[in-house]
Amino acid sequence: MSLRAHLAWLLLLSLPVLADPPPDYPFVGHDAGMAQAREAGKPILLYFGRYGCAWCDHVNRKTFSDPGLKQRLSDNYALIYVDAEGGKRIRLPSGERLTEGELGARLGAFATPLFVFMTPEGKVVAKIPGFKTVADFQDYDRYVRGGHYRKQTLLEFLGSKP
Amino acid sequence: MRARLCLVLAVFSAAAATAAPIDVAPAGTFHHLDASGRQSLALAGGQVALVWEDSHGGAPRCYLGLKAGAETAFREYPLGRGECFDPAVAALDGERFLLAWEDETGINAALAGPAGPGGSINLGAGAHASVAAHPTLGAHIAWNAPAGRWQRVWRASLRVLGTQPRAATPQAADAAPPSDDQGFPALAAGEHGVRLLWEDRRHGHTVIYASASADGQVWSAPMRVSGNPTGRAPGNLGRGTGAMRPAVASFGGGFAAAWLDKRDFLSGYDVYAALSEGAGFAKDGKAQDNFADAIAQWHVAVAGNRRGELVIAWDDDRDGTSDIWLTRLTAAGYSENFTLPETSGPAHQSDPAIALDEAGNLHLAWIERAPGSDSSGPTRLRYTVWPLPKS
Repeated sequence: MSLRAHLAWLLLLSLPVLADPPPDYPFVGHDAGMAQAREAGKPILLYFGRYGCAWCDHVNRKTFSDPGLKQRLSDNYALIYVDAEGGKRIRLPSGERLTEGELGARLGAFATPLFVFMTPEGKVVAKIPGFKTVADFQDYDRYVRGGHYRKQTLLEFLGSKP
Repeated sequence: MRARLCLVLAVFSAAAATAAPIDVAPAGTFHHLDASGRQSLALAGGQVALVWEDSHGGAPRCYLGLKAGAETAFREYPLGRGECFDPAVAALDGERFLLAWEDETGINAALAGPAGPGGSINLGAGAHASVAAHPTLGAHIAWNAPAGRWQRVWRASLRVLGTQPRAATPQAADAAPPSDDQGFPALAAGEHGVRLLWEDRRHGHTVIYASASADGQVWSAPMRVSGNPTGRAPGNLGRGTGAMRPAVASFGGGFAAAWLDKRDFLSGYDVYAALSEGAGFAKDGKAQDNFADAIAQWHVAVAGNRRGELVIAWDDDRDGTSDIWLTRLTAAGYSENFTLPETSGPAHQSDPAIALDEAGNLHLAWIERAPGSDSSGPTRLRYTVWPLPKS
């Protein structure tokens, strides 16, 4: 194998596993994240990814690589990653047991990535599909942690931005 | 949409009415029809068997419902120990069925006759079991279980001795060591052999693979069934689109496979299907019509009978709320999609499980929630029969 081929192979090995949660973020599985949110009283950011998903890869590289966003989300949210096609079993706050894939069907995760913001008790506040920028996530953070979801939809909130 | 539905039903001519739906189990407690391959309903010699999971006992438990064709209620039998998931059922012989489920002891299999289930056997740790049987090709079970870092699909033939099955040594569906996860197997047996499909992530995204056996003993090397493309998107992103939850049925002289496929990634999963061609499957294609293209589909099931009728069912909310949608294979291809009055309307109907008898009656079970209730609202487990009109 040539030196160039060796380097290419090493580069390939060094890439993060695709469509997993972004590296160095404290994303955990569904049940652990729900428990963490309840205990800490933190809102939840649930990231639905899909194995091999190009747009998940894109948002991981372009958006979640921002150190400020990483700090903001890691400090203030229980971060949950769910494989939208996964067969792992989870437990909902109601006590119902489902697979990760079935949770995706319930929440309409037909396009990935899908970002679901929830209260610490697991009530859905906003569902946002597709690639989003750092500025987008800063807006969502203000909407969720500012409690604006109690009076406005996310679209109303974003539309009323100065 | 309703006008189109009427037209479709008119095309099928003089559609006979469905039987009044039966509520199979007590309402309200997280009913699930989640068998791998959506094998939750089977017919054997005039008996109907339905398997499901619910939490009316305070925790997820599996149940078998049995009834003779003319009876208007199912007799209920608990299955498994402790929390139990994903029970599956297939016709065995006479009026008997082959069952499988996952509980705190792992994967289990048992037989059931009109008087209920017999003793079970345990096949070790695993999840998502599927079963199939044929009078001359034998009984078979498949499931996925951890193998080192990955989940791997296993299969075993079952010998039926009296009221209990006995399993041969399990074999990997793919003899080569796995390079990524495999899961959600689906089995079917018919006049032309046995087919096993599963989800496979060896290409870095989820695709559908299959293995075939002509005699129930020797199995082919794995072959790819789904045509969802493998390859990175511009910018060196991702590895390919998804395909998941395969289902397979024998019909006429062959097999039909169906699954959820996201190759058109903007509108969510679509219903794709492929018909058998020799030991493999022909090129796949959409089984849904164009009216479904902008809507995500979920929970695809397939059923056939020996006289060659084939039905595919799923749920989608193209009419505003989730309904059960159906298509039939005709000489001109898959029919326009249609639904039935009992499985459509303002309530939320989902998770179909289907079986076709030799008289051409479609047996259909589904989960229903009241109009306006959220996804954690009370559920009903319902069943009906619809005589297929002549196509």
